[in-house]
Amino acid sequence: MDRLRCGAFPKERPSDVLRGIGISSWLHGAGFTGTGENRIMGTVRVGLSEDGRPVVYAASAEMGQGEQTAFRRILADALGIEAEAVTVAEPNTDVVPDSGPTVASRTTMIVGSLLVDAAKEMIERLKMRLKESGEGDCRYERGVFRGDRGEIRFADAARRFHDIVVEKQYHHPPFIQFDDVHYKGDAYPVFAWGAAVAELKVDPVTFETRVTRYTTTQDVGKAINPDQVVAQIQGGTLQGIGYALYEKVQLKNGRFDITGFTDYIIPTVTETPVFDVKIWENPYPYGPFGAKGLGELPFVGAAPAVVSALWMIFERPFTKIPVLPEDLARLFSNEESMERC
Amino acid sequence: MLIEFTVNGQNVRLNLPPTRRLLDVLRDDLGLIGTKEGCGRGECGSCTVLLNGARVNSCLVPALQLPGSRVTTIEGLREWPVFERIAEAFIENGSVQCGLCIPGYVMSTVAVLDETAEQATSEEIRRALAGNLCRCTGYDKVLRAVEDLFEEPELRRRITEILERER
Amino acid sequence: MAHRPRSLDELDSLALSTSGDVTYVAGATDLMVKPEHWKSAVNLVDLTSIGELTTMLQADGGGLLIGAAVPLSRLMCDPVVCERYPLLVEACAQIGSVQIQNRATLGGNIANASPAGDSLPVLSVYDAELHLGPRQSGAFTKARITDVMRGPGLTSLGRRYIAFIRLPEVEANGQFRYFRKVGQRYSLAISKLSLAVLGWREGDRLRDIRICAGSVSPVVQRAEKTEALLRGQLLSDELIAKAARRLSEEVSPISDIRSSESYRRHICGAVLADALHTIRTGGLKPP
Repeated sequence: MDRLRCGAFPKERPSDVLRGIGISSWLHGAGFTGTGENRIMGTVRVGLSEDGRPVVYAASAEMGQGEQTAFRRILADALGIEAEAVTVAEPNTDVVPDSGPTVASRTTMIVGSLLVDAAKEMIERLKMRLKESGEGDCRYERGVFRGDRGEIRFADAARRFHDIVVEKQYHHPPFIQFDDVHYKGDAYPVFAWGAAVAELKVDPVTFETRVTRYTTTQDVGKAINPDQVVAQIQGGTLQGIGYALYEKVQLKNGRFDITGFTDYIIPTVTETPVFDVKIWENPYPYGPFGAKGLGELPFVGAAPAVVSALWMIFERPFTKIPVLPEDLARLFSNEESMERC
Repeated sequence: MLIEFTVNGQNVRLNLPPTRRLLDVLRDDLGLIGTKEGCGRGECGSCTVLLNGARVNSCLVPALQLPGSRVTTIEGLREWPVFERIAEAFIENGSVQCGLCIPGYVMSTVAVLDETAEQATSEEIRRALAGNLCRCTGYDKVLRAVEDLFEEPELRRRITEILERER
Repeated sequence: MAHRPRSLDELDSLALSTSGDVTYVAGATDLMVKPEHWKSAVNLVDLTSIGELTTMLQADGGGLLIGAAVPLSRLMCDPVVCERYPLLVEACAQIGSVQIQNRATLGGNIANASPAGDSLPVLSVYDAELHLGPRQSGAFTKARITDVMRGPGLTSLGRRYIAFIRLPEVEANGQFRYFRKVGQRYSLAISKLSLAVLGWREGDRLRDIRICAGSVSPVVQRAEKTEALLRGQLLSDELIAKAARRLSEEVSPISDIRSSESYRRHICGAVLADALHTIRTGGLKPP
C-alpha cells in the first residue's frame, strides 16, 4: 500500500497481493410488508387422489428453488407419511386457488404454513368419517389411525374418503400490528438473519478483485430442505458478489448502456469463492415447522461483506457499487493523494 | 441449401438457409428443445452441443458448415451408457435449480472429463467450465458434481472412447 | 449464395469471379454475433472445407505455417506451437471459452480486426507474416498484420482472404517472454488490455525486446518507442519505471463500456513493469 501511494511499483515479490477481510450482518423481512399478506389472503387447497395420495393445489411457481419439494415434505411430515406420496398439482389458474405470487420470500413460510393447517384439518376430517363409518374413535399416530377395531393406514383411509377437500386461507397471527395509514408497526411477521465474512484479494498491479472465500451463517428458522437452503445461499451470495464487483449498468438518455451478456458482466465459475455455509435454526412459531422466508436473504449481506473487505484494504469507505478495478486505480492516480516519498 | 448431416446418430436431410443457426435447426426444425438459448452470442454456453466430438456453442454454428457433420445434443447424450452416472452426480450434489444451464453443463462436463488431464487442479477444472454461465447456483454444487465424476477413471475412459468415434 | 470450395483453386476462382461482397467463413464466432450483417451477407464462402487451410506445416525456410482456418484449440494442442510459440497458447487459452476456442481461428481473429483481438499482440511479437489469396501467378501475397489493419473492425483485405499465418523461427537461446490479459472477469471477457512481451537477454542485458499491447490502440502495433528505450540496457528499477511510463504514453486507449482511458493507460504501464520485474528475476511467466 505504501508503494502504491508513492507511485512506485507495488510488488516486492511476484506473489505479493493485497488481502482483506470484510464482515456483514443483516436481516431480511419474510413475507409481504405490513398488511400485504392480510390483503392477499393466500389460499391453498389439499385434496386426495382416488388412490389415497394427497394433492397440493397452490398457485406457487416452481422455478428451481425447490418449492415443490418443500411443499411435499411439509405436507407429508405434517401428515406423518412419506413425501413421495404427496403430489403438487400444476399451478394452472383454472384449477388452483390464489396462494399469492411466488415472491417476497413467502412461499415456504406463508403458503407452507397453510399446508400444515390443512394437514391437521385433513386428519380431523378423516377421523370423523372413520367414526361415522363405524370405526369408532381413533387416535392418529405417524401415519396410522388407531381405533378400537384396529389400525388403518393413512393411504387406506384417504382412498375410502377421497372426496375430502380442505382449504385454508392465510391471516397474520394476531400479534402483528401494522398501521397502513401512518406506516408504523410490525413491518414483517418475522425477520430472517445472516452474517458473513468475505475474504478478498486484490491484484496491486491491475486492481483486479477476487473473493476467495465466503463464510456465512444464515438463520432460516427451519431448513425444510437443507441441501437446497445451502444452494440458495450460494446462488444469492454470488449475485451479491456480482453486484459488488462486476455488474455495472448505467442509464444513458433513458436507456441501459448494456446490450446483453457481453456487456453485463456476471460472475463465471472462475469468480466464485470457496463457500463455507452454515444453517442456523431459530424457529418462527407460525412458520411450517418453524421455517422463515429465505429466498432474498442471502443476497442482502454479500455485497456489504465484500465492500467491507475493500474498506479494510484501502482504508476508506466505498459508497457506490460495483467497485471496479478502474475505481480502485483512480484512488492512486490523484497527485494530491500521493504521499511524499 | 440441401444439408445432410447426423444428429444423435440419425441421418437428417433438410433444406436450410446457409446462415441458419444450428441452435434453430435443432430446436425448431428438429424439435430437439433440450438445447437452450440463453444469449445467442456465445457468451453463456446454454446452447452447448458436440460437433464432431468437440463442444461448441450451437448459436454460432451456421447451417453452411453442417454437411457431413455429426452433432450430439443432450437428447443423444441421454442414450449413452455413461449418462446415468453423470445425471446421478448432478442430482446427488443438488446441482440443479432452474435447470436452464444444465443441458449445456452436462455437455461441457462430458467434454471436460475427456479433455482435461487426470492431474488437473480445481482451478483448471473451473477454467474448463468457464464457458457455461449460471445465475441460480453460485456454481459450487455444479463443481462438486464435476469433481466427483473426475475421480472416476473408468467413466472418463468410456467417455473418451465414445468421443473418439464421434471425431 | 453459399459456396463450399474444396480446393485453393476453387477458392481463388471464387475470390476473383464472384460478383457482390464476399464473406469468408471459418469459425463464424465473430460473424454470427452481428446478425444483421450475417443474415444479409451476399456471398458466403466456407473456408473450412479446404484441406490446406485447416492444417499446420513446417514452413519453407523455417518456422511454422498455420492454416488460417485451424481452430484455436487444435493450435493449442500442437506440440510445435506449445514448444516454440507458447505465448500463442497462452493467448488463445484466454479467448472466450473452450466452446469458442473449438471454433475460432487466427484468420478470423485477424480479419475481424478488433483492437481487442487477443492473438494479435502475440502474432505481432512473433513477427507473423500473412499469406493472402487469391494467388498471383501461383503465389500468395505476403503482408504484415499492420499492413492490413486500417482501424477498429476495418481491414484492407477486400476480396482477399487470409490463407496462412507464418510464424518465423524464434531463437530459444536467452529467450524471455510474457503474456497477460486483463478483462472484466477471469473468463469469457473481452480484453481491457493484453500485453505480449518477447525478447532475448545476453548476460544481464536485454539484447532485444519486442512489446505489443492490445486493446489500447485502434490498431494493434508494436510499442517501438518503449522497445527502443529498453533495447541493449540493463534492467534497473528506474529503467523499468521509465519504460512503464513511456508505454502508457505511447498507447492511445479509449473509454468505452468496458473500461476507461485512464485505467487502460495505467495498467499498460503497470503490467509492463510487472513483466519486466518478472523477467529481471529470471522468471519467464507471470504469477
